[in-house]
Order: sequence, then C-alpha cells, then structure tokens
Amino acid sequence: MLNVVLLVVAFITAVPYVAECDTIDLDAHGAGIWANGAKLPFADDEFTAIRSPNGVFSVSGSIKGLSLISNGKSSPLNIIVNPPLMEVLWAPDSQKFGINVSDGGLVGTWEAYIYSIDDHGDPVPLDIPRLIMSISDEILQCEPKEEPNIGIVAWLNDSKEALLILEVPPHSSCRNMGAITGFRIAVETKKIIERISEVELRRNWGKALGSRFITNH
Amino acid sequence: MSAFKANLCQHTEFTAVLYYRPQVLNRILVQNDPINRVDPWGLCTFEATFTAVGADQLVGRPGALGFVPPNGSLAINPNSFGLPYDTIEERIATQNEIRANVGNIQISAPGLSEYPTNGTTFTIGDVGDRNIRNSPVTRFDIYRLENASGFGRQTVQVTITGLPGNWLCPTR
Repeated sequence: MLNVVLLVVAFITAVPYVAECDTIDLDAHGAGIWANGAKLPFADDEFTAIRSPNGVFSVSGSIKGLSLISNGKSSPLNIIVNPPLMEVLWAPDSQKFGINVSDGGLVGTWEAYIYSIDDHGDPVPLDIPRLIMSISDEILQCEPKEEPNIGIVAWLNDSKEALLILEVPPHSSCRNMGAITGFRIAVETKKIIERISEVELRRNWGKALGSRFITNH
Repeated sequence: MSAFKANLCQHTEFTAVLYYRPQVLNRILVQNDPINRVDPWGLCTFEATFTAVGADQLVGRPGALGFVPPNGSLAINPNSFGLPYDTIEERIATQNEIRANVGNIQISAPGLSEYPTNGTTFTIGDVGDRNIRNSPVTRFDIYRLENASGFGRQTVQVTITGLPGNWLCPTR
C-alpha cells in the first residue's frame, strides 16, 4: 500500500517537472543568447541600460537605436535594433564591449559588433569579426553558399582577447548545420591566436556559452 | 453566376488587383479555400524552397516577431510578400503587420507529406536569416524538424491562404 502511495506521489510531482523540461532554464544558465555573461538590453517590453562593470559607461537603447552613454554624452552605435535578438557583453576592464544582434530571426543572421572606448569616451568599432568571415568558406558546407552567424561569447586574458564563435547556419541547406568553431582573437593586434573545435569549446568554454548552444548539436 | 458578377462589380480596380494580387480573387470567389477548384488560377500558388531547423535547435527563445516560433512554423522573407524590411522603421512596421496576421495565414505544401513535418500546412513563426531573405527563389525555414539534416532542400508547390489584401503573393 505504501508503495502505491509513493508511486502516485512521485507521478504527481514528476509530471510538471517533465513539462518544464521543454524550455530552457535561463536563470540556471544566465540570460545570454550567445554569451552566458551577456545581458539583453530589451526585456519586459522595454529597454534597459547595460552598465559597464565599473559603472562609468552604459549601452542604452530605444527602438530607434543603441548608444554608448559616457559622462552624460550619448554616442550612437550604428547597429540594427532587433529587440528580442540582441545582447551586450562588457569586458571586465570596462574599456571594451561587444554586441551580438540578429538582423533577421532566431536562425540569424547574427553579427558581432565589438568596440573599444577611446580617451574621449567615444566608441571605436574594432573590425574583428571580419577576420573570421574571411575563413568562413573553409567551414561552411552549404549549398548554395551561405553567410555564417558570428557572435562574441567571452572576454579573456584581462580583456586583451575576445572569444568569438562562428556558427554554420542551423538549417538543413548546410551539411554541417549548426556546427560551431571558436576563435581566440588578440584585440590589439587583431590576430587569431587559436582556432577551437566544437568539442574543445564545449569542454573548456562550456560555461561561457549562452543558451543558444545548450540545445544545439 | 450572378453572385460572381456582383462580386466582381464591387471591385472597380479588379483587373489591376487580379494582376498583382491573385489572392484577392481567391478571397472573393472561394473564401480562401485552396481545395475548391472553382478558381484554381486565382489562388496564391507558387514554387518555393524549404529548409529545416533541427528539432532541438533554437528552443525557448522569442524570434523577431516577439514570440517563440512554434514547431512547424516558418521563417519567411518579408520582401517575398511585398513587405519592406530594410530600415528600422520598416522592420518594426513589418513585424507588427506580420504579427497581426499570423493567425489568418496558412501556407500549404502538400509535396512535403513524405517528411516528418507533422502536417503540410504551416503558419508564420519568424523572419528568416539573410540566406532566406536573399534567396533568388522564395524560401522558407521550417522550425524544428526531426532529422532536419536529412531534409536538405526541398522545392515544392505552395498555396497560401488568408493573405491580407495589402500583401503580395510571392511570384517565385
């Protein structure tokens, strides 16, 4: 009799748990889409300023565009605004930040915009993602040729390096759909320091990866 | 037949509308019923290419339309339907326009019946990536298909019902 009672209790408690497993537990894995440490500027139907770690700067936005706020000065960032599909990742040194944004939908096309902040508090775009774009043809196995998704997932080595991911578009026109490759890039010299396989990325940098890569295979 | 004539007479711009928006005639004659052969040439019918997103990919996040694309929904190219998607203002307006009509539009692709698409009639779930939007032929991504990699690219005949009058029927 006791066994039957325990079985019923276990069933009642297990059913809602199983139902919840269909969605990602974002709280358990941070809020970021590409980068676990990134923050979404648009939540609860309004924009929130994303402050730098030292509190001096912030990335602020409206539906019309994003800006870097520095000492009360607003410098517009020339980035497409796509409210549910954009995130900001500040470097620990508060002198650099990256923004991942999709110009379409969930599939993409995702782009990473990376900035440093100059002595005047103005944003300076760093053309780092282009380094990866130039070798995307080696990685993508798509017919016909397609554009990859690129995002920043972490700042490394005292903010001197950025870890970016190139993702093959996760749809079936690509034989390696959804495959990811990591790149450690020296920010100052704009050189690729290391190319990281998906296995290594998941093994060594798993905690840096956002929710997008928790369900991808 | 008299009802047919009466319907036509109510549309003074009938010829122009028919040329650019054949779905309007479908709406008048057969109430958007693609099975009704009374007006097979008036339907919004064209050939489209489909690709698929994996069953366990991109789960639990809202897309460009502000909701989580349901399994079996499609990412579309707004331009294919005559909806501009370039400037921020255009994007916002187009996203609102799509969102307002998602419940009415059905995209039917019977040619996909042999694939595990859980039916061959789809709704709109998201905006496609640049590869979808820049495709020379109308292309859709199906969200979360089992064995998506085996699906590859499939080009089949498509019929769309429920298009608002200010949208275009994709021509190819």
